[in-house]
Amino acid sequence: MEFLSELAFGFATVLSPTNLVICIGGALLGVVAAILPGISAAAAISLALPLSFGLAPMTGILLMISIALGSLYGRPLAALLLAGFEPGRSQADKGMPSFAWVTIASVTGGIVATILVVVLASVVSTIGLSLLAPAEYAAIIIFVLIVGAALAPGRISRAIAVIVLGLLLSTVGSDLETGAGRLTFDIAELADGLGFVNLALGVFVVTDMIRGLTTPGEGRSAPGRAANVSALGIGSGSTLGFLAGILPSSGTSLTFAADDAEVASVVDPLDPAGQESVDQIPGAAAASSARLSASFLPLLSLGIPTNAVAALLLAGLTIHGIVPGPQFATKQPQLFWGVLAAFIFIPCVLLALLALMMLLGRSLAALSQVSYRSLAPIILAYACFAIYTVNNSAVDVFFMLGFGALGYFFTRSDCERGLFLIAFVLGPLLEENVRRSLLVASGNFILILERPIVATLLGATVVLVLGARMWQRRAEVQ
Amino acid sequence: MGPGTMPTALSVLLIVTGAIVAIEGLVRQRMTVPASLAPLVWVLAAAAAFGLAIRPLGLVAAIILTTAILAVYAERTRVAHIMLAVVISVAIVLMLGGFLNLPLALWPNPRVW
Repeated sequence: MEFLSELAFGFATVLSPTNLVICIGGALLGVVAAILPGISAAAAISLALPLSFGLAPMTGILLMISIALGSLYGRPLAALLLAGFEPGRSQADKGMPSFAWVTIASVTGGIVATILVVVLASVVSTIGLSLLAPAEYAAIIIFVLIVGAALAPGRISRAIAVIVLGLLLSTVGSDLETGAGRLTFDIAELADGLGFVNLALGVFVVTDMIRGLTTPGEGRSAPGRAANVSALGIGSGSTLGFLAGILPSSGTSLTFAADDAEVASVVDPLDPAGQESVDQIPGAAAASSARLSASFLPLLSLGIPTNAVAALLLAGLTIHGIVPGPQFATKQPQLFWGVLAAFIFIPCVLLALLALMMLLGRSLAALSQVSYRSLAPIILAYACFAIYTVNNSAVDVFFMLGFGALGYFFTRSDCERGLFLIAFVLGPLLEENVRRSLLVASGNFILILERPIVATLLGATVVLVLGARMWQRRAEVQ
Repeated sequence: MGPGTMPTALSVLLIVTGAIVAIEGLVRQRMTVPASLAPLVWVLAAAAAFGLAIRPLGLVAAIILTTAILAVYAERTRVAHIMLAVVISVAIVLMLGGFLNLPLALWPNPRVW
C-alpha cells in the first residue's frame, strides 16, 4: 500500500494554485475543441504544445494532459449533440443514452484504468530496471513499432515503410556524439533536426485541415439510432480500452469519417465520435478514456509511447528535459506521481465541468454547429503563430507545411500517421541504444543477437510480420 | 558505429520496403478516388504566406494575410466571415503575445527590407 502515500504526494503537486487553474482551463479548452468540428485530440494537444514550453515542466505537462482528457471526454458529448441531443432536457423519450450516463462511463473507464496503472507501474519499472540493458531496450523499441504496424489498419508493408521513414527523418540533424551534420545538406536550419513540434502540427493540424476542406459535409456523420447493433458495456469497453492502451494500437482518433468508401467501413470501436448508433457511445467513451490512461503504463515505466497522444506527451516531457523510463519513478517522483494523480483528479474536474456546461443549453448545441470552413482560417493562423514562437523561425512554418502535405499523402494512401509520429519520437532512443549495445559488445552484432531476451523479441517480431502478411493475404482471398 | 551508420541502414531499409509497397501497388491495381488538389494548395499557400510575411511585415499583417487567404477559399468570399476571422485571430495573438511575453515584432519592420 506504499503507492497510496506516493499518490497523495502526487495530488499535493497537482493541487497547487497555478496547476489547479491550468487543469481547469486546459480541460475546458479540450472539451470546447472536441465539440467544435474537425479538431482531434491529437490536433488539440499539438496546438497546445508550443504554449507549454513557456511553463514550468509540471505545469506544462498538466496543460497537455488536461487538454487531452478534456478532448477525449468531450467527444461523446460532441457525438450526442450531433445526434440531436438537447442539453438540459430529458432525453428519455428519444431513446438516447442520458448524458450523465455517458460521462460516468468515461470517468469510470479512465479512473479504473489509472488505478491499475498506479498499482502496476512500480512493478513494470522494477522489471524494466532489472532486464533492460541497451540491447534489450533497442529490441523492445523495434518490437513495439512492429506490433504497431501489425495492428494498424491497412497493409503491414505500408505501415513498416511509414515507420522506417519516421525513423530516418528523426536522424536528420547533428549527431549527438560527434556533432557531425547528417542529411542536413549544409542547411543551417536543419542542424537541429526537423523538429517534433513542426511534425506534430503538420501531420495532425494541417493534414486534418486539408482533409476537412476536401470532404463535403465536413466529414462528420451523426450517429444513427439503429437499435440492434452490438454495443460494448462499460466493463468490456474499459477492458478493451486498457488492452488497446498498453499495446501500440493505431493512435489517431478518426475525426473525419474516411473519405473513400474502401476505408469507410472501418469503425474505430474506441472512438465515441465515430459510432454508428448512439447506443454504442457509452462503451466507446469508457474504452477511449481507459486507453489513454493505460497508455501511461508503458510511457511512464518504460518510456515507450503506444499511441499518438502518448507520443505527443512524451515529446513534451523530453523538451522539458524529462526522459521517462524505468528510473523515472525513483528519480523524479514528484512528476511521476503528479502525472498519475492528474489522471484521477482531472476526470473529476471534467465531471463537474461537463455538468455545468449542461446549463448552457442551446448555445452548447450551437457550438457543435459551427461551420468548419469558417473555423479553419483561425486554426491555421494560430498554428502558424504557435510554430513561429517556438524558435522565432519562419523556416519552421515551412517544415510544418511539408509535414502537413506528407500527412495528407499518408491518409490518402491508407498509411497510419500515428506510427510515423511514434517512430519519429523513438528514433533517437533506438539509435542511442543500438550504439551503446554495440559498444558493449565491441562491435559484434552476433554477440547481441545471442542475448536471450533480444533473440526472443526479434524472433517474435519476424514471426509477427510474416504472420500478419499471411493473415492479410488469406483475408484478401476470401 | 559512426554517425552515418543509422541513416544509411535506414535508407537501405526504406528502399527495400518502398520497393515492396510499389510492387504490391502494381500487382493489385485498384480504383482510387482522385482527390481535389484545391484544398491542399490553398492551405499550403495560406501558411506559406505567413512564413514569408512574418519577418518583413510583422505578426499582425501575417496573421491577417493567412486568415484572409484561407477564408477566401473556404468561405467563398463572404466578407463578414473574413472580418470575424481577422478580428478573432488578432485578439488571440495580442492576448497570447501579452501572456507569453514573447519578443515578437507585431508591426511591419522596415529594417528587414
